Amino acid sequence: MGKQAGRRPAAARRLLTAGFRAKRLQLRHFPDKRLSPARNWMALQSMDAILAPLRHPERSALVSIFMPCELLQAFGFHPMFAEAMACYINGASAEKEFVEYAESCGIAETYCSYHKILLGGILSGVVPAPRFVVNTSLVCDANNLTFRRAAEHYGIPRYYVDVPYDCSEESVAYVAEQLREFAGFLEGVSGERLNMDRLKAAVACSGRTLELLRRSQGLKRGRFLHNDLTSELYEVFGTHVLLGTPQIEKYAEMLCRDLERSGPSVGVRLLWMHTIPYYQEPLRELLNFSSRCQVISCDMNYDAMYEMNPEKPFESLAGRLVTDSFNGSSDRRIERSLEMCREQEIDGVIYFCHWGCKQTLAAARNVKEAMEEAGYPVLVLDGDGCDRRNSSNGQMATRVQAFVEMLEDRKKS
Amino acid sequence: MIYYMCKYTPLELLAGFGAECARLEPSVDSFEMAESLGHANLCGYGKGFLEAAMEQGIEELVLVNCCDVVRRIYDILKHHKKYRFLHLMDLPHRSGKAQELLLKKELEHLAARYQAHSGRQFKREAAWKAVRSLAEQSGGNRDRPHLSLQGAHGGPHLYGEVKRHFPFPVTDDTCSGFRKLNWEGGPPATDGEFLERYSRALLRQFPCMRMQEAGDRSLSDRNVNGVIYHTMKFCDYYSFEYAAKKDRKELPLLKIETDGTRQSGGQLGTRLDAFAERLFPGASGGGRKRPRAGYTAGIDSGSASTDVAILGPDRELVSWAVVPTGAGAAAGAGRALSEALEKAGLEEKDLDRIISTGYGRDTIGKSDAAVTEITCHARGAHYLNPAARTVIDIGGQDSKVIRIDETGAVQNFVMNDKCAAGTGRFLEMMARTMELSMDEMDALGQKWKEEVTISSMCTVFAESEVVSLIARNTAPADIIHGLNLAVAARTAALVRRAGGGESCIMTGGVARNKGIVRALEEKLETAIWVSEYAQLCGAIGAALIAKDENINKGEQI
Repeated sequence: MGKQAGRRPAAARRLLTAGFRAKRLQLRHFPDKRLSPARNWMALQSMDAILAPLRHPERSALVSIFMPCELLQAFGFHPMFAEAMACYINGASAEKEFVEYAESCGIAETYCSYHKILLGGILSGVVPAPRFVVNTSLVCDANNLTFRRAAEHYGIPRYYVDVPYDCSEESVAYVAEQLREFAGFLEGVSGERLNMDRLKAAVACSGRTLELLRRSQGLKRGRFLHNDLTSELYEVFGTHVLLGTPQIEKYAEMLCRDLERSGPSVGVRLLWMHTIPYYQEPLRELLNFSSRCQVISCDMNYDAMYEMNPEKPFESLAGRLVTDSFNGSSDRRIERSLEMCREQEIDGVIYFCHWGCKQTLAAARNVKEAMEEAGYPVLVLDGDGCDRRNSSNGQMATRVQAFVEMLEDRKKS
Repeated sequence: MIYYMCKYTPLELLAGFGAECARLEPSVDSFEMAESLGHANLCGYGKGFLEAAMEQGIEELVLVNCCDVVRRIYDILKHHKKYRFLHLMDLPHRSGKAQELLLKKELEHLAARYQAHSGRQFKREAAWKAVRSLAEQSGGNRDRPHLSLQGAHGGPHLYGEVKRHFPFPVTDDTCSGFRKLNWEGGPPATDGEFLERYSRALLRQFPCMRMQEAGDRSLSDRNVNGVIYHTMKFCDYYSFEYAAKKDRKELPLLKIETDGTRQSGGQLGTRLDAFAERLFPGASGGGRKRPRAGYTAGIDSGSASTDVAILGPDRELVSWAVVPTGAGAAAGAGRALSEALEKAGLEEKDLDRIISTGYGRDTIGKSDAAVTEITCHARGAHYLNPAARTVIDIGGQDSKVIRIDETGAVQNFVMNDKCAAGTGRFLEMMARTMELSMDEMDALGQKWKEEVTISSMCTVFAESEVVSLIARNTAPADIIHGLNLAVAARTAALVRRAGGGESCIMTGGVARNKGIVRALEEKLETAIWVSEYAQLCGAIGAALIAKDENINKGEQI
């Protein structure tokens, strides 16, 4: 499929979509028995989220992962986003051709691979043109580039939400004003009026979902739920662009139920910080469905636990953006992760330095020092969330295994 | 002294407090501390800045939240050094009324903090004077034809290096250069009015790439007659703009990439010289003709081998030699030239002119002039096959793709950057890992049966992949084939970047490697022509240029 990318984009798109549909059938009719019901439900929702914009590009918007999508839901637009698109292309083992296509168009080799794969898909014509683009400045510079380039390439309108560094009332008001302007943009694009009831309903749904997710984080303490890396990554999609949909509320309910029914904790408990290279063989072997050691949570799923007020939908969405632990200083991310460690009885932290993610890379030392000072050992792990070429299985296996051995020794003593 | 980095730093506001400001220009040779405090995969400017900011004597710093790396540098500095004054000012990504208001609040916050720190009062007159003085600075070289250095921060070192290679004016229009406030109207009546109009003026500067409403950043300056575009590894912003500029093809454009250290001058110099040759052909030529005996020589002093070609009166190849360069370029050139002359039964005095090219071209005493290998390979390729339009040269130390026209003149070229992947050195290292000679590796690689993917492009990673493949008993022939595919993929990307692909000719030592040529042919879906003299291409080109009438002895082009 990848080999068709540059030459026959339409054929490549058909192949990709057919592959995803086949995967969907498999998820629906033969769910992974090792996973809990909530995790299987989430896998299906993620698949649907990928397929919708490929099937209905005219009712879709290209968005950045931190863009609150309740407004899109109120207008009935599907979100399409870099991280999911790149992961699914990687899942189809086709990322190499997309990366190479983007690089041949002049995109730097050192650019974030998620964004590079998405751009490869866009510039080669495999990813169909959505109706418009909307993105926030969170949380990295790639957002300021990929989405601008995509809008220029397709010749479609774009809206940009600037999120200030400071966590203040003024920042919230500033972002809320932009979101109101964006609602006007959506009215222009769709030719429909904003239905405030639908928006309020979506915001209320987000609020309930976040409440449940907060509860699920607490329920993890002392419990062992069979888990794999891919499920933790799917949850990132659910806690971001899919938040506000009834499907994700249902997921959060199911997850709480699964956790309540789960057994007592066994093995080493890890907190994963940043995106997850779910495809990496040594990690899968060591961490998936393992009673020796598993990832309990990912800090990307606990970044925006904001209390939503449906009567103030714009301020609520703005507040969630501004107070996101990934916004501003890395201290905010450290504090949130420490909360998770304490609440969930974490033994150690893997801080994943995804290729090209400068804001994560440059915080590595601060994170390590602060978390270790609080008693949580940190492994700073270099790799790539979606491009197999940028890390080596052998090196990764040694590092992660050694870290787990170290944590096991600590637990014994 | 307050040190700063970004052109959006409110220097005039700080001048209102009587503060002196200077840009912190890192001049470091290693990033040891920066890589330990941050990470290796950050841009060179960021790492250099971090190193410099940790030095003693830097006690007051004002940073702007202008990119991911600077935002994190602030976090790092805050935790690892005590400053008398350290401040991060947020900067909106858009411009407009709301953004001006937001920036004004940021300015007020900075002013309040600096006042508390310094104990000094803000004097509007002093700030206004600073605004005026910036406005009164002349446009410098912008009023006459000039070259524009654009892209990522280059600093005085890069700017100086570029100026040194061009005999006409160059302006610094990189991310940190071209600071000009867009102030409207006369002096402000109150402090509040100053801040309000100053925030607008700051935001309306010639935008850097992070500004979302930057739109078309092409300078509306008609005097720009060429652009040198600087990109930096791990700086996201400017490779994007380069890609767009390259496609627009408005002005002659040269891309240079650095890592923020004092770059190995050799590679940069080659590109700058070649660009100057392309922009101003014969700029230093003209003048006296010399009597001709008919023989000229070209010396291509490469990192691995030194090649010499001697052309006769009718441009026929009469003799050549290929010798290992060894420790000194000059000695290698001497040996190669003697060998070629001896083979042809000629003496050095029989040669009209000698032109040198390659990395060692400037250090060879024997040559009359030096020309870059870009120009020489183009000419040589045209000589070997007049139908050639795309020259693919994989050398020992770098690889390059040159697009040429029907006369053999350079239309465009790209080179790989400071990385061994996809070069002859990469193959040599892999051969060494597999304990094979280069010839053995080539022969064996043609007997492959199963396709193996070497996914890493980094030489170090690739080596460990090869080791693990050997450990898994993968057939050496299949591993070699996998390596050939990896080099081909890398080179094909270079071909696409150069906009080439038609009528390909491959030159340089690696052209002898049939496995690589075949893999590349498959990747590019086109036949690649390889001359039996492929390795001599640069030397032949140099000998041809030596025949050009307008080059005089003793001249450096």
